[in-house]
Amino acid sequence: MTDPIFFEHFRELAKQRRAPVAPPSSGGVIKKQEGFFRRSLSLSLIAHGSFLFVFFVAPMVANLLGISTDYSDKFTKKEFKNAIRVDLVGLPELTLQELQNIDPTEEMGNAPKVEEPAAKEDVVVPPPSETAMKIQSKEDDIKALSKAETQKKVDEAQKKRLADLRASLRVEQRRKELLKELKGEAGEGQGRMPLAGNIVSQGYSVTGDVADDMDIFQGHLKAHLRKTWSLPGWMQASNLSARVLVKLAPTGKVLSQEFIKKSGNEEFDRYVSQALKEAEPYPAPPLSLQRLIMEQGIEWGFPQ
Amino acid sequence: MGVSTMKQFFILSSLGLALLGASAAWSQEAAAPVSDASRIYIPVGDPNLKKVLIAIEPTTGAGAFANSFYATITGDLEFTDLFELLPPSKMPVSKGGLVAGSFRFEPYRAMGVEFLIKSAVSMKEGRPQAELRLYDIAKGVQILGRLYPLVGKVSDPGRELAHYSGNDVIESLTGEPGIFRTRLLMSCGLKKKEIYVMDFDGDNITQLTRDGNFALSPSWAPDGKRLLFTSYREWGTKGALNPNLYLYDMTTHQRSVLSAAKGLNTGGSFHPIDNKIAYTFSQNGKPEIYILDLVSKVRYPITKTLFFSVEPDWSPDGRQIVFSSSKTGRPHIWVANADGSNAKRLTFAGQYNSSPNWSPKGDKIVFSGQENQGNNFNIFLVDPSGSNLVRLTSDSHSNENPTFSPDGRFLAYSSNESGVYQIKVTTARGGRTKTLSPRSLGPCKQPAWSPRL
Repeated sequence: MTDPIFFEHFRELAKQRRAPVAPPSSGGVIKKQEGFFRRSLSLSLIAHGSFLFVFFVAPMVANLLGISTDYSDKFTKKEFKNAIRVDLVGLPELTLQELQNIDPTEEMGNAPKVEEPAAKEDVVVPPPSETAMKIQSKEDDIKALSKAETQKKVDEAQKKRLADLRASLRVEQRRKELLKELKGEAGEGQGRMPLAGNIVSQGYSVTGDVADDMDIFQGHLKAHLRKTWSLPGWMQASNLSARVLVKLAPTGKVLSQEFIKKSGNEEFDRYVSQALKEAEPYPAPPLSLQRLIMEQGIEWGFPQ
Repeated sequence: MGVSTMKQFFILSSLGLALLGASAAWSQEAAAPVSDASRIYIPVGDPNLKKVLIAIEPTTGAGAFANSFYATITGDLEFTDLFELLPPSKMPVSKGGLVAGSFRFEPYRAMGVEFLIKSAVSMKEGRPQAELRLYDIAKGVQILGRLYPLVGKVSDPGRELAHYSGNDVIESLTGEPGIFRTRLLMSCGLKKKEIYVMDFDGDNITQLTRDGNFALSPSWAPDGKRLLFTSYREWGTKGALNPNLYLYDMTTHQRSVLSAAKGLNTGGSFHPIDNKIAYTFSQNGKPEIYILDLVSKVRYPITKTLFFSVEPDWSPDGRQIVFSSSKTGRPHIWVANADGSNAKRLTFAGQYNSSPNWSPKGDKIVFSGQENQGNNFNIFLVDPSGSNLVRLTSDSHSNENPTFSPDGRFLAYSSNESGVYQIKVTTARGGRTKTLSPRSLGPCKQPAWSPRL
């Protein structure tokens, strides 16, 4: 440290370090830096602002305007609702005539059906062990055993049938309950679905639980009119079609009815009018759909 | 603020507005209602069958001729299952004459009757003739009025003329003539089976073969004048019986051998247009579908699956053929082009699907399918594309060998509901059934419906 050469060298270095940095050549460069800074800041503000806008402000605005922002509806309800299910399990069970005569709104799983199998079960032969105990000779032994075996098989088949019946009855039970709701028996013309937690405003868009109501009521109405819609044998395969617009009061009474598309065939239109007339009185619409049906109406397509 | 900052502010705000618009538009679009019309739209679907109320006044004229005409026209229209007949007790007492102006529509209109038939029979220069008029009550106009003089000699002129006029009535209402002059072939007998022919309603049963063995699977040529059928006859010198295919001429009552190779020569089906037939031939091993040209006598296979392919039937345009094949293990219904190419399977369910028949309308194929539980067969319909498989019968007895009527509206089939196989008729929608063949003939099977004769 006291070496004079080293100290000299060190002084030289210090001199170089203390040499001032070349200042910006002019005031414009300072301005450029500031401009650059400002631009980056504004870009950053825009990016952050748009992010916040899209995810926070726009939905709030949309809500205020009454536009739904439930995007999940689009993907879950509509698409999957329209999925096709193909059963390749076996030949069809019901004949064409039976299918046409089915009215899903009537009780299908009638009470008698439930009692019958139950009674059968009671009548069933006592369990094999008891039967076996009653035997005297060897021959009877064998007879009884084989009888017991077949009886066991019958029992099992019986149980399976019962289980199937019960399963289908449960489904029927549920459907009947839902339909009761529709018919308003659950309360004073309420017709509100027990699942509905949210009350959808009486707007004109159909999503969420109102879509469920719509589906069920539509099915109900369709079944109702299928009973009276008929054509003579020779018109069955024709390509004729007509559309009628019907508006219903909340009680189900017809407020107005008019052809919005005639078939071009007098007889066909006559049978259409006849079918509508014979279908009165209609079932009362559920609360969530009453306004829609009263103001916008139902468009019937015969056959489409 | 300086100019540049103003510019920046301007850019910022316009960007911001653009973003606002874009996001609003996006949220709008995603929330659009499911249907663009906000009202409920319900397609009611296919209509039920409405049986139209029709009044048929008793035929004017004397004796058996008039009675026979009246009974036949009533029976024919009732057969179609299209009408509800007004009971005679409800008809107005004073009916007036046949011609419009001689009677009043009002009494019928009041009862909801839609159509009225008035008829009369008489002899003109020794020849029987009938007159029939059809009125549309709703519109109050005549829609058919015709005289039917009898041509040739028949044992029952009333019946004959009623069939002609009935066909015209159906044509006026449906656009297509009726099937009241069609006949059914069938194979009947217990220990021996012979070919019989009868009218569509079960009348006039005539025996056609007397081979004393098994005569089976009859079918008609498109002209209605020739038949195909299979009969077990002697083959070769050893006297063994072999099912041979024969062509039978209804006018000359002569038959000729078409195919008598050892093995099966069965299930012949005439091409609707060309002079050739399809049939099941098994000389070369397993039964396959062969075509036999009746002019050149050339025979060639169209299915080469090396499994059972039997019971061919042509489409009405002759371009396709339906048959039953156990290529996939169990017999199922298949459709192919007339040359056997492009074979497509139609049925996938069931244990034994066989005896297919193509509707003359071309839109449906009927077949009998065996139930999964049980040995009996029931009748099913399917589109030639394979879709819309529907069941027509769900009986615990067996319904087999269905065949379509020429207008595609009726099906004849054999059913053992009574314990004995009898020929029955139902509508193509599986409506009311009628039994046609008597039990006295023994089991009757394999009905074949003629073209309009």
